[in-house]
Amino acid sequence: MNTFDLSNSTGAGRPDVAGFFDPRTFSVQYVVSDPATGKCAIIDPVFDFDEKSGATATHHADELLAYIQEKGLEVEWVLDTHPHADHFSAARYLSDKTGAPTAIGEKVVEVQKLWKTIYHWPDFPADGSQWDRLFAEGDTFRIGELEARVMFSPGHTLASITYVIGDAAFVHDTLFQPDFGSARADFPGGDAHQLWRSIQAILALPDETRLFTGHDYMPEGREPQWESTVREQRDTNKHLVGGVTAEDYVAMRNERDSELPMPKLILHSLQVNTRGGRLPEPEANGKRYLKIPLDALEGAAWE
Amino acid sequence: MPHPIVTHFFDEPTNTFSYVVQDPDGKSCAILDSVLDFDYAAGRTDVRSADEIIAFVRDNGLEVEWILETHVHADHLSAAPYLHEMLGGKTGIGANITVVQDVFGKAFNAGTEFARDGSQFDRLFEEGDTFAIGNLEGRVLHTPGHTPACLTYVIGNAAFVGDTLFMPDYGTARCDFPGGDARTLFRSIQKVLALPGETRIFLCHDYKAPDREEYQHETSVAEQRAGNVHVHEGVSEEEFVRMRTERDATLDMPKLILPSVQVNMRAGQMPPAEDNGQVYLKVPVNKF
Repeated sequence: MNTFDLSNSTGAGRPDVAGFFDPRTFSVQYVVSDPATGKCAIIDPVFDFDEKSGATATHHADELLAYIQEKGLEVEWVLDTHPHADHFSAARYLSDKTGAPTAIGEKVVEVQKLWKTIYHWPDFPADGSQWDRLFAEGDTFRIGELEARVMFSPGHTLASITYVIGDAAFVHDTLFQPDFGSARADFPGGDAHQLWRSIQAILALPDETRLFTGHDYMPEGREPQWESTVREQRDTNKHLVGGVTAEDYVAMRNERDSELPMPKLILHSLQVNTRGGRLPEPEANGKRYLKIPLDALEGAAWE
Repeated sequence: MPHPIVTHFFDEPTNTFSYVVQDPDGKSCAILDSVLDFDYAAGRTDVRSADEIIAFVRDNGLEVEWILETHVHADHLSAAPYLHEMLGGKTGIGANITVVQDVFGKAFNAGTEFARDGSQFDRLFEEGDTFAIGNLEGRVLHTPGHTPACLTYVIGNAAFVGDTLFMPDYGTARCDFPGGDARTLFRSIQKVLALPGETRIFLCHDYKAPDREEYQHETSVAEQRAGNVHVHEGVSEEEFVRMRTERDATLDMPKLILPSVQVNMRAGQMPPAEDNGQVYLKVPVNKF
């Protein structure tokens, strides 16, 4: 299986984008680098977790670090597009290793409030203080000489953002590859109408913008893929083609979502990812425990 | 030899067989190894499987005398408390449950509310103990190896072997959970195989097997002696231990081990709710 690909820069102000695929969670992690300065950002890194045994590992995060070292890059940012429901974020681990600041969308505070109640963490500060920076719509930052801009892209979660870096956009769980469609919108805080609007804003980027998605589920057993363009998505995405209206899309999305079971790590992941990629504090015996609330999530199809 | 009426119930998501074992001369019965449905992803429980058993018991006018477990299961949650509430009957498990409670009580950092003395069950069985289901006599074999607390219930000409033997074409249970031991399992299996050849053997699980499309739940001592791929006649203890240990090293943990053991060590009761009224299971990180 192809789990790595490098999408080369085509000129000044345009990044090299290295994609790393995790077959276990179908997630794509990125190292986005400025060829001119060697500065880079890490986007959506995965902290490995085996839910059967409760074991954690850093194989994937270490693979990113090895690439960064081999290419002689310097990490300026460790970014997440949203609090993921299907894997643990390695942002904290990578920030500790590299000294680079972490960031996520500012609406993560609302997600924290939601899950603070579900997990019953009365003392948890739901204020985003677990990250170094919280991004709002239109915020800009730099990676070396690359200009980066933030688009607020809610729908899959109420905190999702898209990072537009030069001619590349990291759209995570909005659009998937054209042959798979788009992300579900039925998690707590999700909304199919909002997702539609977020997708339209992405499709309004220049046609040749390189789009990098957050997951690939390898339909029909094909090799994993994660790069497309705005033009390709508009012309061929199976959830968008054929004059689909907002109403059509929302109806399709809600119907499809009603048949999907919860992701197998949602209850595990959110308690790590709402803490910026930190595991829960140890109990008095020095051991850390995740919590699985019983019968707190209603409505999804049975697993 | 009495011939109890045995009705099986299969839970495909966990490959588990539950049984209703009935006195052929009366209305008394026992329920063995029940399943509480659990959707781990959403953290949801349901009683669909248990309700099938309840419907069967009521439709046949049966009286539940016992709700039994062969062991503390690591792959499904027990529905014993729900069945007890709906149908009555006494709960029972092996006396070595206290060993399992001690190990997992520590692993899950259960508070002092969690007694490690087996008091959550009505009866703790030891090797050779007997009990009655109407006019049927049940007898207990201690058959550890898969876990320290595993029992085989011999009821008339039927033996409920839990996780010791599986179907002859599939073999035997794994021995790599905390407290498991391959040599101990081999010796336990010899006890089962020393029962009369025509003894009916009822399994706790079936996973099909290469070249077999149907799930099966019943075999006999004679069939196991002649054809079990892991422990047919002629396989030595050393050969078995080597095979079992090598094979176990290649197996993933069962998907539901962490949720299952913390509920089943409490006789199927959920952990106490936190002060918001919400019940939480715990997942120990990097403990197993």
